[in-house]
Amino acid sequence: MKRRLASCLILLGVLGSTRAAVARPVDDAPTPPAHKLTRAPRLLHFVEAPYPEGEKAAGRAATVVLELAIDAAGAVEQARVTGSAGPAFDAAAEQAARQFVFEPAEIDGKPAAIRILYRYEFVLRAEVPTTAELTGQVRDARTKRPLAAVRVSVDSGAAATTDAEGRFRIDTIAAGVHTVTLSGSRLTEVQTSESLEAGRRTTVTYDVELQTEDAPAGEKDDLEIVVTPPAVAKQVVSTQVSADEARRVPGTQGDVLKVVENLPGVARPSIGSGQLVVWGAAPQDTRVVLDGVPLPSLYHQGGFRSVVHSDMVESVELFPGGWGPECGRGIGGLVGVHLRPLQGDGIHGSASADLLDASADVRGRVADRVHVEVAGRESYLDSLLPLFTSRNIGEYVPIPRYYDAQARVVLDAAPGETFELGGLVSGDSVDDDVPSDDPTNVQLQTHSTSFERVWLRWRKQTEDGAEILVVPSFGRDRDSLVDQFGEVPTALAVDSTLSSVRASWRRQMASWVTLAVGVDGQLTSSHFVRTGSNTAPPRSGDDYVFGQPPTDQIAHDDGRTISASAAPYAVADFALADGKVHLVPGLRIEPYLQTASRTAPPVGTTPPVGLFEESTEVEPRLAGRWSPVRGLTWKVGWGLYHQPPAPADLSSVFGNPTLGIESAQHLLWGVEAGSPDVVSFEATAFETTSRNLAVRNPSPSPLVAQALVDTGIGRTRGIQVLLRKQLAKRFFGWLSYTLSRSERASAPGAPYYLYDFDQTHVLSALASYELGAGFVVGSRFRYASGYPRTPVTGAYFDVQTGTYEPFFGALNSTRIPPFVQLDVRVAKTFAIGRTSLETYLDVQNVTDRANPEEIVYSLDYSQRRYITGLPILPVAGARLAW
Amino acid sequence: MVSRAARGVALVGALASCTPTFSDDTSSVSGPRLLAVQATPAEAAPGSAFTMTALYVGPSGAADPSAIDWAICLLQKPLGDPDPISPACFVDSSSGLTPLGAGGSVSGTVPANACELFGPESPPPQPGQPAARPTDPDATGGFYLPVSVKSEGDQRSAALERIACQPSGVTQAVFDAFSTGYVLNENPAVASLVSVDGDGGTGAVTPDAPDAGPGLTVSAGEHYLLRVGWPTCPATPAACSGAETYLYIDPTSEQIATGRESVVASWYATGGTFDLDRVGRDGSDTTTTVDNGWTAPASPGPVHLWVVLRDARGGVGWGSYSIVVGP
Repeated sequence: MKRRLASCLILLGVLGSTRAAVARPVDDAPTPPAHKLTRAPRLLHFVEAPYPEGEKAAGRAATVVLELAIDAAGAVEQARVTGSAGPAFDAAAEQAARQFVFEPAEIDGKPAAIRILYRYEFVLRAEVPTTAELTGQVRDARTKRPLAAVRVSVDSGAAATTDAEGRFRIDTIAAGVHTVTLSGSRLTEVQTSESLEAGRRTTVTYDVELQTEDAPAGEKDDLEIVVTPPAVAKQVVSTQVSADEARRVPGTQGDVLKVVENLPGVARPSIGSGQLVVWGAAPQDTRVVLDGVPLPSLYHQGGFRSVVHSDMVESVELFPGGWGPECGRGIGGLVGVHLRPLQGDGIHGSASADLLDASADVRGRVADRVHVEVAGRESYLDSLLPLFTSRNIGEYVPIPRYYDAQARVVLDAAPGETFELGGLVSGDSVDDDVPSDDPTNVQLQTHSTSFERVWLRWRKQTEDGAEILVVPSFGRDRDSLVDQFGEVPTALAVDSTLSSVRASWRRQMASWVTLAVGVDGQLTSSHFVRTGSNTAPPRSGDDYVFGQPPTDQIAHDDGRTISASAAPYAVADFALADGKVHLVPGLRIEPYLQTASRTAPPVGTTPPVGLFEESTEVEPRLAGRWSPVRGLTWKVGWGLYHQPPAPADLSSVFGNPTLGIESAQHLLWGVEAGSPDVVSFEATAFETTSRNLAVRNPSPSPLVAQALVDTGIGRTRGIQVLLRKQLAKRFFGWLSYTLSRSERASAPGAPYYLYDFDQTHVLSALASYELGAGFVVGSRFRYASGYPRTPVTGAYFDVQTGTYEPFFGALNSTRIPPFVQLDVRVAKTFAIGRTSLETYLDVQNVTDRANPEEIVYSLDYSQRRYITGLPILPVAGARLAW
Repeated sequence: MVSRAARGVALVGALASCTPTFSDDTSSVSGPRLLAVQATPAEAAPGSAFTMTALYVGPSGAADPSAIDWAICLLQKPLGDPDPISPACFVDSSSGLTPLGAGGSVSGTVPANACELFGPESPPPQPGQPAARPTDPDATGGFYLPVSVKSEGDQRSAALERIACQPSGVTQAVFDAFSTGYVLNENPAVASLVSVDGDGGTGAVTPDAPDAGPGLTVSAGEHYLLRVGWPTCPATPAACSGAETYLYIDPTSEQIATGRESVVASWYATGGTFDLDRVGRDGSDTTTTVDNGWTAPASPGPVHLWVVLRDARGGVGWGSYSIVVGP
């Protein structure tokens, strides 16, 4: 959470500052008095100016220079702005300064009036909150009418009295479990308990029964209290990073969502892959959700940029496993992207540019209670490179081309009720041509992806304290891969339309239990067209060496599939033992309906016969947290997860239209220690097991429409730790480490092999520090084991093609050497009037280490070497915000 | 030459990955080595006889082929295996091997069920089970019988005989059109090999023949442009020892389509270095020659040179040449 801090400093034109550590020179200081100043005025009582909301929402800092006239008693007689930072900042600073009280200055040893220049700095600092806020309403339990003049007090001493609408607000309450007392006329004093989380606002509704006017003393009705705060169901393991922190992480070029790659439980992706591998799961098993809207991916192709503009993002949260029943259709991890609330007045925005692309974001209030935000990004590296080189570099190095755009309109329909209409588009294309004088060795490849989403989000906080959220969305995903290895064509195109709706209702039923129920439905209709080799692209478990052409046997299929499910779910958060124990049981019941247009490959003019299958998956999930003492929490989680097969895997030619629903079980346990505002430590051990995975049919002569079978199983075991210091006092950083082993087998009883995405060790250490004067420096160090690969033990000669083919050793029994890299980031922010200009230099691989990224072989497989990753790569960029 | 690594780096993506270089020279003949196998006929129906002939060479030219063992391999390969034949075909004790004999040339018969094992026909299904998945054709519509070859030093090679199978799973009209219009593949033949000088003048390189002299005399260390040619074929399906036009069934439309073979020339020599190991013409290029540079060795002496032509339907032909490198 951002907390505003106003730091201030005083500066006398000739006498210096009483707070020299933060002094700034001001050139136009007043002329010194003729007499001798024997003592400078000293600020005795400082009044903090309220940070203008609009400026805070825009993330803008400022400095206002004031001329203060201080009388001989030390009071401020007059305050005048001499260095403006805009009307809002000026007014706030001027008003605060008028309330300052000084120890008078002395001239010639006697108290005297004096004029000084005072610099008031408004500085936005993101600090880890330590306090909580309690807001809500007190109502008559019978009539539901608000009750005014009820005193609500917390055991810490803080108190508030309800207004005419029965509402109250108490802030800066120390986090923890507190006793809340309600008292007032016709109200017998009653108490309840609230568990308040640091940095969060808890909104409650107290329904109380009033004493009747004529009831005799001692015969008053018992008081019934219904407390209904919306609470957040606790996840056992998750890592949330604010946008402010994420933007400063070296190696991300300011892209907030790229920070996910540095979180515990996440494997380092191969260069240019952009794949998100969480707890050893396949990249396609991890789900990305943008405030309830499912997205097909978090990053553009190659992983250079995310698909959502960073200025729209408030935070990103990774749930590597054990997540609650609100989400489904995924057996890996879950990435939640949270959009920044649109607030404040005026028009604000930003524009950024660096080596890869340019982007912009504009947001503001366009009418009463209506805010709008529009953002977009376009890459231009493919256009820039020809300016610097005459070589057709695209022949050998694919240059990514991408764009994305987002827009949303938010209507604050009523207090506690908002509507948001939003949309997002994203597109990628990579062309890759490898020319050759040998027509059997030519490679042409074009990979294009795009998706669109439109959503409506309705959020309402009801009078009884419940929160209702409804998010219908509609979208389309397209993925097209056109490839030509010599004379072997490969074309795979999948075009899907998605309709989804998420609806939830959440309410605190009692002081010790919060209930959330909802439904999560999705309908996906896909059309796939695939032509080419069965072995392209390769699948896990294939004997395959990087760069090896696919078999020249080709086939074709054109089919349609529908996958639909609507899952009701419920989850309760039981706060027991004064909030020291949280038990969060949940249940999700998901009936799946699947259709495939063909059960068998087309034969002549025989009409296709389709397939309809139904299965219902029950997904119990349980999370528990126990905090025996402050700063120590033990946690445990368990759950079942399912996902439908990929549409193209239901091909009757290349796949199997009868593939079942894939499933997984997550089990995790761990401990959290420390204080989030100082240093926190988390350690989580985990085990995931999966089954019904789609794998190649191991038979050399599989039956028709059974090229794939759903007999695959998998398991991942490991431990992840996170030592973290959140952004406070100019510094943030973390050290994350994951030790894991991910394995697969083609069927129960078959031998396990290391999964293609297994990384034994993944270590990320990063830190960022504000030097002052707008300078921020940061560094990131990463170590990661290389991915497993199948070794080549020899080769034979294919006399038909005149090429060599490999003999393989045990599947995935060797590894690419480890990846080690140090990145550094230096940024400087300039304040230019109401705008700020951030310039940065992000230097990746400062040691210029040649990190192996893939194993390659000579044409006859007699020699083995490595493709290495990026050399030292400085990327300069700038971001202008207003 | 585009190395396997160069092909790979394109898949890695990413701006500035560094591709290693290799010192391998697959054109160099420094020991006994199988360069090519020619099947005659180049395409045979099940039950038909065929002969396989090896181009087996060494530093002194032709090598003794008596130790070459041949066996038909009746093992199907797994669907996910990108190799042309099952790795089990190279296990000597495999029960799927049918020996063809030893030597530089062997003969055999295409098994009667070859189109069921390696072609578009499915064997009769088991009761209550669907039929087995037929083998997918290659881009020319072809199916192949694998032959495992073992030569001196336990060198392993895979040879293929193209099988003439009837189409399956198509309409009667397509079946009829293909059956009547398809012309079996012919092996390509080297029509000419010439040396091209800087002015464009050419000098024929005569192939090896009994009692013949050297095909070409060159200067040590000099660079020469060599041009290999093959016969011109008609634009309609016809038996021809060049880039033939052929019919195939388009897997997308399931209709008859017409294609033209690509021809690739692989170059081998006991000395000197070629600019490229393999060069060729794709099916859309009607040129019937292709060039390659060759730098003669720095030391005088005899050099043996071979050019192997391969067409897209599995046909193979070659030429052998003796070159004298002078000072």
